[in-house]
Amino acid sequence: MRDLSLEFETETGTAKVLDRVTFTIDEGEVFGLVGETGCGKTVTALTILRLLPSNAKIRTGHVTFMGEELLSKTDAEMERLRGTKISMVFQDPATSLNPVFSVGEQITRVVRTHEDVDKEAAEARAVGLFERVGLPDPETVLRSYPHELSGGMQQRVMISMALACRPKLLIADEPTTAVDVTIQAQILDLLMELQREFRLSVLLITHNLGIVAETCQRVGVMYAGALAEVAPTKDLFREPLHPYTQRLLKSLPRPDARGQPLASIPGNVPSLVDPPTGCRYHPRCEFAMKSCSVRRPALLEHRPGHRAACLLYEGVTE
Amino acid sequence: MSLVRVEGLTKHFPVRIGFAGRARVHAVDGVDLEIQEGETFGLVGESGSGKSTLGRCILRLIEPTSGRIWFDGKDLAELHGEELRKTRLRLQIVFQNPVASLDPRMRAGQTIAEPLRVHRGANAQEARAQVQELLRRVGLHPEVADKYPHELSGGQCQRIAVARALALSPRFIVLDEPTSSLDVSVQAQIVNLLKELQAELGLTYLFITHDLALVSYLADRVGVMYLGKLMEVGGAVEVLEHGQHPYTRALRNAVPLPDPERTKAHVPLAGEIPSAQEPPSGCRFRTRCPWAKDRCAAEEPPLRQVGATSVACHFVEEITKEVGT
Repeated sequence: MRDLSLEFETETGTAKVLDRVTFTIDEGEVFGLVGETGCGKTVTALTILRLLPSNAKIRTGHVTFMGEELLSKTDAEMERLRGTKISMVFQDPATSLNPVFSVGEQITRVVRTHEDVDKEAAEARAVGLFERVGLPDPETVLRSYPHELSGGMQQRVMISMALACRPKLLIADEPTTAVDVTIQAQILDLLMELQREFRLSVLLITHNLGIVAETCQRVGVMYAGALAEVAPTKDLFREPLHPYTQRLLKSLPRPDARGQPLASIPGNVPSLVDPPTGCRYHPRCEFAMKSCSVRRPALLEHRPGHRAACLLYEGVTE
Repeated sequence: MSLVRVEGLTKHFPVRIGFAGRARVHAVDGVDLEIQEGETFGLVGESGSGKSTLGRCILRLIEPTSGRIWFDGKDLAELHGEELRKTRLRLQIVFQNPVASLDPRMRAGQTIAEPLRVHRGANAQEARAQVQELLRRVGLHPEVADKYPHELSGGQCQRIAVARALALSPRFIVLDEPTSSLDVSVQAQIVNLLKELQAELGLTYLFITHDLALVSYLADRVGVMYLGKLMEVGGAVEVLEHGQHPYTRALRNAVPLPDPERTKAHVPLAGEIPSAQEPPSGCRFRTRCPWAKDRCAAEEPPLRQVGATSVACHFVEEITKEVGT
């Protein structure tokens, strides 16, 4: 994704939802996108899949997938790509599965939409996938309706559906937010096993920095529609460059911080209809200088592979 | 001295199955608990473990099926009328979803003033002065009093809910996942506020959460719940960092830590939490426990002091000898 800017027409005005978002995901890489509610993580994912709502307008930028520009593809071409080359696992499996069809009907439909196979072959593939994702008694699950499955099982079904046509890129949008922590550990372990087995590239969207630390090779930190920092995971946690990332990491409660107040970020996330000028983080930034309200920092490489959008690293001093 | 003492607290919810079937959900089953004056007691567990039901039973927002609750030496079940009403003012609650727990048609100031008008008979002028003071105390600008919940952020709404809980000078507050719908930077603001208020006003908290990192940061003591039972109780550091119960170990292992350089022995717990309608016999955790033996199905393990914590497990000594803490 390069220089992607996108706006939503809303009743209260034009919301500048993404601001020149630039990042890459390598083949076989797990790339994390973190940030707080409303920072644009999910919109970024939907832009790649071209599943944006009708009030969204892409202003600038490119999305390239395996060398091809996605933004200029026809709807029919995108239709063929979704599910076969790029697929997605959503946050809440209970609402992403159709309640009136058995999960078997839903997964075989995915397979038969994209490939010329008969029902039996599609079902056989579904059973194989269900076994692979650790669903007990796959034949029974195939005939089950979503409400008969637990949240953890539903998410395993979603993962099977996403992988049914062997995609290259899997987008997982908060895949474990709706489940408990012991089930979360099971699902994340499964995703990482499958990632290695299928040599998948994964875009993992989460607000949980712990999940990023355990699963991602590289990570992008988003704030108010813009990328603040992109870095290898270890470097980001060891030496965060952007003041927002620094604060975010310090605001995590840890047992070794007992008795000390947590670092919080003063104020609130800004409105995207009327975002701050210059750096969007400057009104809440402890290091803000005069220039920060005027000049928009570019996402530049300040350490090997480690990019940050902050004037502090551009030699600006006031 | 213990401010709140719970003994044998049990709550079974009757449910209907189909046309004529009936069953009981064993939400809380025979829980004993003591909360000391001025401490933060953290109650952790996954969804369906009964932690919220327990919190609400203590306030008698839900009538327990059986068991006793003492508050400041008084048996809450024996209090009636005026005395119960007066005692209850000392116990307050802050709910999980701040936007949903505030009346959308009331301005923030009205929400905070309501308990003052109802219980203290405050007139408009007195209430206004106290609302201003409470807003200041929770770190909000006085003009927020004129706003409706939808005009405020989640963090601001939660501050209003805290101000409302503080209005009647409580001694004990149940905090039921007060930050789980907030982003981490806002969560930090609310957590800091709660700690400040506790130090300033000498409050006692029951902090209910599924977030182990949060509870290890702010709780003094911790209880770990699973399927309506306490599995382990003790000092926060002892339970969360060196807890011995197999379930405590599994929870600790499952939490992803924000430290990419940590190498962890990752053995995720198999299976899922069983139905609370038909909880397993004996130890309720045995169906997912890697160390379960025949005795675990036959006999329910009581909570007993083992080393630094109280643990409900027959074989905890052997497990600790085998794998350490």
